Amino acid sequence: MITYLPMPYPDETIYSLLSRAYEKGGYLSISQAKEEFFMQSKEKFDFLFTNKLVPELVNLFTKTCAWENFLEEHTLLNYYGRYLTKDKREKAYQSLVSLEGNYNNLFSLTPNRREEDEFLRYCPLCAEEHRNTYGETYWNKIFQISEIKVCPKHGCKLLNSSIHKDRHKTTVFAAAETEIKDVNVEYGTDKERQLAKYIEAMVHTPFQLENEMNIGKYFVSKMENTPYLSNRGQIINIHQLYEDLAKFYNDFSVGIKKEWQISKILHGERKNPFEIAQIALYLGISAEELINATMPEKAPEQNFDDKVLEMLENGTSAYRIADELKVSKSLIRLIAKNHGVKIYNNEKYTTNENENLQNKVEECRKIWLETIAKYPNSSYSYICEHSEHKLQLRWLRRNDKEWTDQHFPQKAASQAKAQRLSQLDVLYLPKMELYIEEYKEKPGEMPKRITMSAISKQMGIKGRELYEMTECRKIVENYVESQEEFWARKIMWAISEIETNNKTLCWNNIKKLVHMKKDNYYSCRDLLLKVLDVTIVEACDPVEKSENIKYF
Amino acid sequence: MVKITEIVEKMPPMLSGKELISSLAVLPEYNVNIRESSVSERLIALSDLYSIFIPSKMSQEIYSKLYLALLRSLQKKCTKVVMQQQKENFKAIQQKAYSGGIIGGSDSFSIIGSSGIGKSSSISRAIELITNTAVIEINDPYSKIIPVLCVQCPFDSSVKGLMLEILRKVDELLDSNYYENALRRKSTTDTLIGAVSQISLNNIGLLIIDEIQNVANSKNGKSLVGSLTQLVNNSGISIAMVGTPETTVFFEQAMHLARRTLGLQYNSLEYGIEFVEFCKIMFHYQYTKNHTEITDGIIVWLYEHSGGNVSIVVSLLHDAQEISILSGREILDIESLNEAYAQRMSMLHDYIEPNIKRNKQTSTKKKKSSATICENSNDDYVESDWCIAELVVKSKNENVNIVTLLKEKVAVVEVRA
Repeated sequence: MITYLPMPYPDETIYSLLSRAYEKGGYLSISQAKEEFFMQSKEKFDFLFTNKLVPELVNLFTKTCAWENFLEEHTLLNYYGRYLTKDKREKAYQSLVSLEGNYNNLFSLTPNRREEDEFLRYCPLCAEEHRNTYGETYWNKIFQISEIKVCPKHGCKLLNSSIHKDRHKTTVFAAAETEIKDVNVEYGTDKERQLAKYIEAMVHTPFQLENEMNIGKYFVSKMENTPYLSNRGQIINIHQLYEDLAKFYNDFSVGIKKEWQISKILHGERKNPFEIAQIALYLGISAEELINATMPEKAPEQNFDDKVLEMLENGTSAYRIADELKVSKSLIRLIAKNHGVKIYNNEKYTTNENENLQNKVEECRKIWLETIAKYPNSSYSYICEHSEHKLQLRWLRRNDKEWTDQHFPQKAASQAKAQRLSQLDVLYLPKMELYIEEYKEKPGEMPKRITMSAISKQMGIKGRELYEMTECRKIVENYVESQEEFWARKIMWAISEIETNNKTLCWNNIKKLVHMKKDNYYSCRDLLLKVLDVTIVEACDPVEKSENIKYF
Repeated sequence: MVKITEIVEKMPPMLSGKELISSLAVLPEYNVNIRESSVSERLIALSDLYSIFIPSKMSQEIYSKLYLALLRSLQKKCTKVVMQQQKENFKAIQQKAYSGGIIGGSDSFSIIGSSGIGKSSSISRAIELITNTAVIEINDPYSKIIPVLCVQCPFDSSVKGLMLEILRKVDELLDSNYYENALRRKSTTDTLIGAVSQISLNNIGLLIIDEIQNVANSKNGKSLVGSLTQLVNNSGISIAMVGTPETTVFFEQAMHLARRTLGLQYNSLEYGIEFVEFCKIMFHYQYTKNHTEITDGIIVWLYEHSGGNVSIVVSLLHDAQEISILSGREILDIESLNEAYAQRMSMLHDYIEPNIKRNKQTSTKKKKSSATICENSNDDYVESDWCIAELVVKSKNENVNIVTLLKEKVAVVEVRA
């Protein structure tokens, strides 16, 4: 039972709170404190989120606020969860609320691949303020974000403590008040301060769980009328953007270092919040705007099209539009075609475009069929490479995809391989039973699971050839058992071994023989009940320490 | 930081005067019809005598002292120095150099009195009134506070023993695991003192150490008192030491020890209004078939045969009635009282001497039978036809012990010099 628990301070990490509770609670050892606080006392510390806490502790924390609000206040949920996709965000959020763990993976935290160690950090001026206000200082969650360099409030550089921010290296509760001694103040650069403000906004502003904002698309929409986006907004000049960004942040040791990082962010495949902040700062998007980002009603491409259509309606010629907007005339024509707008009103210039197109399609289809007949059993790329009608074939593929899908050339499977497998099938068929018998366990040995790959190895044939030897495969499939059936067979063998050696029938003794997890046992328990007496199965059941606790 | 008002609100209001007396008193219900019940029923009901508690000046003083000590201790938990002290206590647990006594001592005092005068009963009654609940819960910071924790001083005055006992009691009330972990970790005494200081600072209001006279009988006594001083300084709680007058001899040895035991000292009751009222109330609870009214003679007899010690009075009245019921006499009178004194209190005879200083014996004690007073319930003295002068002359002439001659005439109680 917890007899003393200090109140959490604003923005304090849960690790910091528990460290203070440990130092003030009169605990004689760290293990005693861990047993009181954590469901599993051997669990390593989590510095950014939380460990799996005992229900009593959760109840104490939620005396004055809801559990979800507590997590928002004292973990980096807002920061790391903000830009995940909706599904991932929901999954990560539920996992955190239910204290299921694995947060680094679920929140897509970028692992530290730099050679230098990371430590818990603090702002010397904030530490002083805390001491004046509360009588002691604490670990602030925002300062534990690897990429932040300065305090967003004071602008001074963050200092490293002596506590490793590595769960494998730090095994003690270390309160900030005990660890923080150095209070030298050194100020950071403007850019560092600005980025810190972005991070602060990301950390403190709650996000909407259902928000489907794609930050990459948002950035693209913001790059309209910049050199980084083509006029129509479909092509991103990532290289230029990367070079300019690199010059802008040339003294930064963290964040965007490679072009692919930008590409992935803009295509919605990478969600690193700090890198997002870097791009936002460079593009002149304020922190507030970034946090409250909403997709514009129309994409840049749509805006461009609307502009073109407007100009066309006003009577501007396609040539002039192309010239003004610095795009090709064919693009103007394509836009007009997509929206059903005529480029030329004068009949003199109007052509029977549809009819011409249809004729061209017919002609190309004919060529397609003839060419495929000429190159049987060959792939499409092979045909294009060798045929003189390459251009027609490719044009048809672009403009008549549905028809070409139906008449797509199929590369024939290798004849030689099929023949060889057939011969192997005939050769091995009489010996299959023998191979299976040799593989199976001897009487008294632990059962072995018969699978295709196991028999394949026994036979000495490689890869997936056995799968394609149809007759031999049928024989093996007679012996293949599901995973649960195999586990049940293993348990039954273990029971017989225990009875033979006159040992007590209990889960511990079974586990020593078969090295099976409890979950695996439970998944095959029903099968055991069909074969064994219920008293025997109950004797084998693992003894549970405490009930499975679900929080929410 | 928790506010003082939040903690004080959790305590019941302080009582005084008649309200205090009526609250302290425990008077079981008495129905005169019980005298008509069977022997077994009356004997069972007779044990109600032991649950009677009649407040005295001593119990009122003890209540006030404990209440104020607890209040001061709880108020200290609301000060800013608590945080610094917690930090220093943690260093002590870690066996690092630390500076103690930041929060400073609150109170340590003593309640000293002979055995049986009602100290422990007064203390437990006072604790019942002072505390609404066994544990007070506060928020900001969250803490469970035991208002009053009673422990016994170990027989060998072991510091470790006392610290472990405190932890064990805390575990009992708060359902924690301090004791188990202290044993598991085989903690040193210094670590234990640090941990107990921390736990006392967080979780204890007032610590009462009973049987403190054990420090006088053991060579570890001084170190135990020293550790208690350390505990007071590092936890800011009040400590009350309860014991018998042997303690005063020990604590008088040095100034710093004497200072720690300033407090309440009590002896047996004098023969006065308080004792008379006490006897009247106790005498009212009669379970014999025949009712007796209390007389001055009985009161005097009770005083002389208890030495003013209330527990002995209770025992006398209880045992006298028990003997009377069992023998069939069914009356509470001087004869049954004498019988009880002779049969049940023989070991106390040498200790019951009201208002006479008892010096060390130089020779073997000779057991004397107690003097008996002739039964005379009407409070009328028998007219005498002799005088002492005549007896003296007779003693000289006949070479007879004067005491023997006196015994023939009046009740004589011998006292050895």
